[in-house]
Amino acid sequence: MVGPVVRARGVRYAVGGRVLLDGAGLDVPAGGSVAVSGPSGSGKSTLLMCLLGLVRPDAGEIAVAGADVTRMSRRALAEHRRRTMGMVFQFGELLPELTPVENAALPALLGGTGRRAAYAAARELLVRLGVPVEGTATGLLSGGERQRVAVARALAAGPAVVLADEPTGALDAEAREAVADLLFALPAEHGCALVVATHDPAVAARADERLVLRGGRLSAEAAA
Amino acid sequence: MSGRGLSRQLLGIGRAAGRGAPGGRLRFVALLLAAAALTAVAAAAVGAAAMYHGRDVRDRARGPVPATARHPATVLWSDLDEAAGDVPHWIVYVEPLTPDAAPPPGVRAWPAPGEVLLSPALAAAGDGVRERYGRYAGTIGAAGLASPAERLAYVRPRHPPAGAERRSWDAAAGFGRAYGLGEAQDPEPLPMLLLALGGLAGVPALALATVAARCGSATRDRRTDLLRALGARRRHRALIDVGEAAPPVLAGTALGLPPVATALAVPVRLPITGYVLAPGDLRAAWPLLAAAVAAAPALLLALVVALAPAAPGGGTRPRRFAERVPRRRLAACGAAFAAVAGSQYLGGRTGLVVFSLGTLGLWAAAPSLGAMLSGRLGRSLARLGRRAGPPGLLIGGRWTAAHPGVVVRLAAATAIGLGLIVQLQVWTSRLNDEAAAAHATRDRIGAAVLTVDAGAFDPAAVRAFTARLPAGSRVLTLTEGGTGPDVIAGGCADLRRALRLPCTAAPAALPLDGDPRVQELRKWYGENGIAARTAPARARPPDALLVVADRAAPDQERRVKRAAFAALPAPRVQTLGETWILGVDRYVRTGRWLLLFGSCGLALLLAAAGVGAAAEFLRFGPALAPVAVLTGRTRVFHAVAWWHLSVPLLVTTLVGGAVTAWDGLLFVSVVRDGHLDWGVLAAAMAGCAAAAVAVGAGGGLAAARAARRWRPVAD
Repeated sequence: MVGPVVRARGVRYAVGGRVLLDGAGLDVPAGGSVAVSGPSGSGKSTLLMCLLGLVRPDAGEIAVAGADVTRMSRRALAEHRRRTMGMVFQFGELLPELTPVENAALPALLGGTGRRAAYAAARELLVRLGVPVEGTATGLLSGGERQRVAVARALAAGPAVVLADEPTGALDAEAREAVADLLFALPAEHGCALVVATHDPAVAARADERLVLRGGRLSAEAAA
Repeated sequence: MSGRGLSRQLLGIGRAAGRGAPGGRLRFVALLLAAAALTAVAAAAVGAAAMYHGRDVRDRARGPVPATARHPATVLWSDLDEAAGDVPHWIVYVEPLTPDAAPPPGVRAWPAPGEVLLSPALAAAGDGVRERYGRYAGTIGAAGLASPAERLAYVRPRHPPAGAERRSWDAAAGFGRAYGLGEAQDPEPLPMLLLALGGLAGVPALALATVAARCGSATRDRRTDLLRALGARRRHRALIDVGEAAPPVLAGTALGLPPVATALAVPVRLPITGYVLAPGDLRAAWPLLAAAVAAAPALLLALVVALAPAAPGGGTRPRRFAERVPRRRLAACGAAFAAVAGSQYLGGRTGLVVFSLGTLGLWAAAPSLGAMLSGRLGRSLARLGRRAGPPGLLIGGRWTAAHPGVVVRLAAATAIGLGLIVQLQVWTSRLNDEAAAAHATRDRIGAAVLTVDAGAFDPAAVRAFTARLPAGSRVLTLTEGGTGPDVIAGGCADLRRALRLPCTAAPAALPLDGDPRVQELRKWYGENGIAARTAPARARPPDALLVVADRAAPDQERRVKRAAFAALPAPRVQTLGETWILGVDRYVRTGRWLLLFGSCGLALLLAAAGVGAAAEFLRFGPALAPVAVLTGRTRVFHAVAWWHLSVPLLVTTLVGGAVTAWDGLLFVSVVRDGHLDWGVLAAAMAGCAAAAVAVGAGGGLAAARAARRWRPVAD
């Protein structure tokens, strides 16, 4: 292995006098998965935003796919994010009026990929994930199906890392299992790194490495 | 906490909430515009009442008081209406009889014999008016004018009126009785004006206020529900709503103040109507004006509070996308279209009724038709986006197809606004048949035949008048025939050379073809026919003179008028049928007022619809924010807004303009009167197109700005 796809060291971030991250660090190799747990408000989403480069930490280094996202210009960062990162949100954050294939192809289209390639890749992913491709608006899909579309969208650009923020938080038990199965199969199938922020121990348990964010620091979770 | 302290706290909470709310800036602008519009409309209503009052007061002060045995005559007085071009003005002849006779208001000292005082607007009117009535000796003061732009002249004849001429003058004991002179003559009743202002500008201003009050209401409604759940009473919730809305409302009121302040300080000319406001009248009404200006923000804040939902929003059903437009509504639209198209074949009153009903039906059906077309347009755009690749086109199309209401409300405002403006223009361009015929005559022969009416014609005065005419002009007389034909008479040479008529001692009917001037005379005179003859040696005085020119110079009318006013008492010089043109001037002026109010109304309607659309756009916008932010492509919002808002609106403007033009032209053909002013239509369409681009640009900017602030909030 060449080195971790995601590497964070000494990340510190405070807002309004409250320290959310205080020297947090993690490594995620290609094909590996890390689950970050912690109580609500502990800073899990903030950590993901730091990894995405949407929030610039006060101190520390974050390298994603070999590039330090804390030092890049906005434009370079957007380009790097488009090429190397995919994101799955708690509520999917899809456009309900678009078809699933259009939603899944959107990041690639916005990134300048040709429409044939973008739609073909999206269609292939959706078929593999078992989501109806056309004929129905995304808004009419079930919650589990919507999250699978969200996963397809995150994978559409062939990212080096997939970040997921409470991806099963809004699902029932059955859909949660299905989406978790899908997510944790990604590293093996696509060779990407996976970072999942979740407060659900059952979901976190599927990760190669389980970390807890407490007091702004990441530490390995004790085995249950 | 004391009641006052709590109120202050709640107002402060509202203010803070307004600053941070999603779409807060859009609502700020919307409330600002609504407050400015309501302030302007309220001030305009008070201003109109003040103008009417001031005009009545001044009209009462300048009207002549008839002389009686107890109040002997101090001045002789006579009035005459005249025109410069097609704009009428009024001449008052005055002759003081006693050295201590007081001049009328606005006149410091009586003009000397042969001198004339003009109102500033008449002095600047051109068309030779300044030299026409005598030696220009100064202007009439504001106290003597109905409005600063009134066209009025006080003329003192060279010689006191005597003989037959004296009979047309009134003996007055002074001034101070309502007379209805000049602009005060037969005005539109104030309630009619206020009704037009309220209907055409006030209602759209209220529509804008309503849209602004509910703009971005989703967040506020959630907050209201939360406050209710926490035990806040209606008064508490109202205070928070007021605290949130007050800054933009007060700023908007402040925005509406400078025009009012300007009108209080200096005469302001209103666009389209050209009416000049008298600052003194407004100043006299300042308490009412202040109350109106204060009432506007109060009304808007009351609307904000009143429109907040009183009960929690119910319903947990998922949002449904576009529904089908019922078939019967489309059928009604088709029937309305057919009625408008078929009305031209019915003609007359029936045609007009069918046309009017059809037009109303078209307007009523516009939203349904728009929804259907908008849905189709959206699907087409999405298909195109799918085939061509641009995500903005794809998303814009899908949004338009899924939420046609946004586009439909905007499109309906655009189409109805365009229709309103053009219908106002066409209706007010209608003249009666005679006025239209007079315009046609003027187009054909210009001032080649002018009629001169001056009461009893003194032969010496007529000779003096003839001597002053431009070269090539010939004078004939016209005597009305009563039950027989009217008779044109003149010297043999004049008849031959002026109108190429034969010289006959007995009246000979005018030929049915030949000289166009003769044909025009035949149209305008002689219900019982018109004939010509050589002038008999002894004849009764004519009823009018005809000044005929072979080739009328462009300034023929002006030069003939000057000669007439120099030689004849109170002459009226007109082109054939001109009296009908001046007769409809009142309707033309009324039409301009309606057009002014209608244009303001259109602008307000567009603003209301634009704000509503932008707010809706902001509601959908967050769905796109995550992808746009993660890919660093927030510019996609501009593309989506362009395809979702601007393009459908531009299409509506084009289609609406075409339908409106068609509707207007059909109206003209049904009533066989009036005309479609392409300039007005083009200006209205340009306004709508600019609004379309502005709405798209505004929506895109606001959504992109909101998206850049987006962050995941799961934790």
